[in-house]
Amino acid sequence: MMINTGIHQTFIKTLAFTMTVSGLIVGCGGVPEKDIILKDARDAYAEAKANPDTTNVEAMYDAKKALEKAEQAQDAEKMTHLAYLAQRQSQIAVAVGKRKAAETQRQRLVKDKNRVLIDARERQVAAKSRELEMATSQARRTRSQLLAEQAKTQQLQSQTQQLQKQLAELKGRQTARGLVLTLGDVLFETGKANLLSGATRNIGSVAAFLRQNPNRNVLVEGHTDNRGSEEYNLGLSQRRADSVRFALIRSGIASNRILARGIGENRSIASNSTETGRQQNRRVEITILNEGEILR
Amino acid sequence: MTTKTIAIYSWMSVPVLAGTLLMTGCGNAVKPPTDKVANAEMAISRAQDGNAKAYAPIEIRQAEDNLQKAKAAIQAEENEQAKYFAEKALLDATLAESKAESETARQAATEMRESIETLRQETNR
Repeated sequence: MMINTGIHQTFIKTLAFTMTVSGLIVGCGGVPEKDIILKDARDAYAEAKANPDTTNVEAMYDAKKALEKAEQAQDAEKMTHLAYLAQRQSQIAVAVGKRKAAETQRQRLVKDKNRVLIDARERQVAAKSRELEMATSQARRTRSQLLAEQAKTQQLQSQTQQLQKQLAELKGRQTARGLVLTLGDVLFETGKANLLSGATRNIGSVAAFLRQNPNRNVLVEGHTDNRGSEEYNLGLSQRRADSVRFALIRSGIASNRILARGIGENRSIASNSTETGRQQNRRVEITILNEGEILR
Repeated sequence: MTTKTIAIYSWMSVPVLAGTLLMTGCGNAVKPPTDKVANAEMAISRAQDGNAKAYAPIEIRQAEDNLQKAKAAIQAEENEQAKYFAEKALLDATLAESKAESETARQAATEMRESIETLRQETNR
């Protein structure tokens, strides 16, 4: 078997030589037109690399490897094919980068949109609360106005009630023309027209009532008993009525609202044959006319 | 060593040489690249689902052409060529799909920007 082993080794040598020769035939070594074949793939890779969107894009790694593989190809046909694939990989990396950039941008915009929505909602709420504040303060103002008016009305009512009470104390009586009040003889000095101090309160009540009721005018009429001449009595009654009129004017009532008239002895309300009756006849009647009634 | 044995070994090296040439050499011993063709077909159909016909019409056409060429090459038993065409078709389709996706994303961002603009105008009224 020694001889056989020698022959076997020879065979192995022959086989190795044969394979080397075959490899040389097929392998060809360098590709002379390499730069022309790889130009597009190299340009595409350079372009992809320069694009800021492809930073951190995984497909760039594939593109790099594909280009390297093409650079190392041993024959023109294979190199042309691998260059095509490498160019595609670079273009894919750019497209992927653009997609990711657009998605990132969209996410940022979603946040912007939410911000805009929140801002708008906040503005709405602020506007509503301003409106509410304004309405509240308006309501508060209205309420205080209303309360003030109520208070004023109450005050007026109580004043009116008080005045009516005071007038009632003057023993007024209601007639067709208005309310008739009688100031008695005791409020004047005998035979004179000057009002005594006791009359002041009564005149004050009448003046206050007239101030409260600016549409009501007043008629002042003087009366006497039948003692003395009729002419004297007419004069005295006129002077006494004038006295009352002046007192009212002094209390702030416009003169054109007051008419004073001397009636004399002819409109007695009691008998002149007794002292009591005569005293009743000596009087001044103040008629507070009904609302709107004209003086005559 | 007998001459007979030497002769046998010499003759044996002929088929070995032929086999080596076939293994290293140019094509026809490669199996039909059916997997690569199937991958390319799937990539094309994915790209079409992603509206690549509208956004990357040239690339999708190239993918379809290269796929057809790959299939024709298989028919002609040019399996090495078929492999090249199938690989090209796969990357053509992948690029078409990527372009369509990037365009869709760009449009979504634009729509979002427009909706914000509309919203701003509405709320500033």
